[in-house]
Amino acid sequence: MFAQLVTSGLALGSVYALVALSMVFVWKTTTVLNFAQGEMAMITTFFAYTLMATYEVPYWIAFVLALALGAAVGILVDLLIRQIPSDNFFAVIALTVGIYFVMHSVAGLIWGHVSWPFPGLFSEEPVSVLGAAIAPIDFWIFGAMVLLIAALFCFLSFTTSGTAFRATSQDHIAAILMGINTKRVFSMSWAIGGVVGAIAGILVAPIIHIHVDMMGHILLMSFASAVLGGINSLPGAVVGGLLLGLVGNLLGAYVSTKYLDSFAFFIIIVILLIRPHGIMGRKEASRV
Amino acid sequence: MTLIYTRKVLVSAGVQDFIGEVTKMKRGVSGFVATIFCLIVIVAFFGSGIAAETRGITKDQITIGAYMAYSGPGGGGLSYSTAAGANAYFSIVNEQGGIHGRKIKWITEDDGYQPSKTIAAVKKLVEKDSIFAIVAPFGAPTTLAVLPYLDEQNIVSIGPWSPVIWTEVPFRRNVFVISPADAVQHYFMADYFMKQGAKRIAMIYQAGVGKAPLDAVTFRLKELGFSLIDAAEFTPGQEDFSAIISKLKAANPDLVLTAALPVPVSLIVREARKQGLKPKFGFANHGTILDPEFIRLAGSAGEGTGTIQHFKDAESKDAEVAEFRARLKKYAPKEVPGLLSMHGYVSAKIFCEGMKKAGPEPTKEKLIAALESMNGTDVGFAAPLGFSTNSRQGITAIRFNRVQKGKWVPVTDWMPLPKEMPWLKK
Repeated sequence: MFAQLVTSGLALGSVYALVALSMVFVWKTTTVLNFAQGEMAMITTFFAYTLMATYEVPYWIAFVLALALGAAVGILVDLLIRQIPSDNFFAVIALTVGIYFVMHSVAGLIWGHVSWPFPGLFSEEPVSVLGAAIAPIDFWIFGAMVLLIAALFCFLSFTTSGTAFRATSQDHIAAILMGINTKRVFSMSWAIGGVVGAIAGILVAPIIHIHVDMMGHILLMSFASAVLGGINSLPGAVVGGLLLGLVGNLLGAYVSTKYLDSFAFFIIIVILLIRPHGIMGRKEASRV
Repeated sequence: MTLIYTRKVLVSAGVQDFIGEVTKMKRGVSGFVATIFCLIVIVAFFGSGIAAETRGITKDQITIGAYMAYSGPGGGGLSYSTAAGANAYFSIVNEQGGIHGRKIKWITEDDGYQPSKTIAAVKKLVEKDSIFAIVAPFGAPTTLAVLPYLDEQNIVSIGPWSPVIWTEVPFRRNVFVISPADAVQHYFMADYFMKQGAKRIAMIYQAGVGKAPLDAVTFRLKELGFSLIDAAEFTPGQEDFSAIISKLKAANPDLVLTAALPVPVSLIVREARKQGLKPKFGFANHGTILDPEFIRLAGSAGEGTGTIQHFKDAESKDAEVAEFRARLKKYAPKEVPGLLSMHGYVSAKIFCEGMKKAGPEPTKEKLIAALESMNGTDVGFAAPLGFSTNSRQGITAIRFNRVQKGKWVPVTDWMPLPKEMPWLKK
């Protein structure tokens, strides 16, 4: 039982981690907390589903096109948000919430409020690993997350654009003074956030079915993961997501399944009381 | 002095006259206002009673309504199917001239499977749309939320889905349940599987409405000297069942009963397959999953899942069912005939039959009396109805089905439903 709980907890935590990562990625450069992240992922997942189910597009082509749509949607949201003065924090939050509801309603109008089985690339039949029945799909979800994080690490560390991103997230003004086109960096962040969210949606859809409400709970848990790990820490978002998935699963099984989410949030409260900036977050200071 | 005294007297007299006049006026006005008030009370008391009794009935139209979970975690597909079936029947009735010359207008409101929204939706239907009755509404927790309001407004409700025990206990004069309550079905399944040889029964149930089925199963097992080996509760909208399945797998059940809608049951059986949980007697749920939606969502993981059937097969060659398919094809060509579309259709049929019997000047009391008189009536889709002066349970016989090669297949004959609910008498 323990092995199964760990693998399914890590798989679920990987999804939380990916959505949390996309939120933190956007936050670090633009200081916008995107509450529409889940719905962006849902729409791109539905797009992939429509390509496969209605137009019989092969899986990988639909996957790539969905990622392209994810990037485009991210850039579109960035353009919308730029219309609001950046110092009006609450107006920006309200806008992202508004985008959430608009996307949710539009998706409902287009695809209805019915659940659909999403074709999975990986088998759901279990294989025996050290005596425990483990489903390959859980391994692949975790593996996809690891690959994605590695790709992001390489991007941030070894590319000019990645360096520009890091500079902008550290000090926006200094980045401008150094000649970095920060608007382009913002758009790039939103695009990457959209792509990462789309990957999360497509990975999780075969497990939970695709429907317009599919990302609601995941968004909540991902936001909690980002806060738990440290809202200004990319590795923290991953650690937070994995921790939440794992601990929630273990507590749910060994204590009670009734209060699965409650236990997870209780742990978050305890950790934040000890480390208010999250597990890997750092206190930000500015020169006065 | 005299002048002053006189003036005082005169002024005093004048003031007194004025006060007197004002008092008379006030009395007059008070009397007038009081009369108007009494009239308003009388009209409101009797007028609303009279209006409420025939609200929704005009000389050429009968207005009825229903709340549906087109959106939200309730599984919109089931509501759309129910609506398709009901609309098909009402459309035919209207084409044939209506009931006693009145066409039927059926208004549905989307409550998103949220009880707080259901209350608002039903109030809108009753107070703004002035409906005469509620026919084929969808949702167990949502139905529970509006029962007090329906009692208060004396609204007749026919065919709520899925029916829970509290639509029948205490006896609710206004609510006519067609399908058997989930708890009754679970009591039946616990009994059935124990006779088949199951000994280690576990249960997964939705919070709230799953409590009554849990109580029914627990009671029956206790009567037989057993108990559940494990029971796990989940919240509506929950999508991850990995922890629950892991826990149940460790308990090694030979049967897992579930009390939930098709979407979560499909997620449960898929997770069970992922983790290699294969109980000897499989999984079984109450009749809500006897619908193509479950098979579509569960895929091959749903093979062997069992459920209760209370209507005839949607593919039956019986005349009534064949007519249902033809009408559904005409008015909802994309709808695959199944349990919920048949339920909507039968609910509409029972309402219309009741209204015909109620006569050309229908009232709610006449409708209730007409439905009660349908005791033993065969409407062609199931065993004869069981409505009477002290029963609101329409279906009286059921049989067990399993998924075999992607289709629901009956594996038993029709068996009578338990009439008593002994676990409620403890």
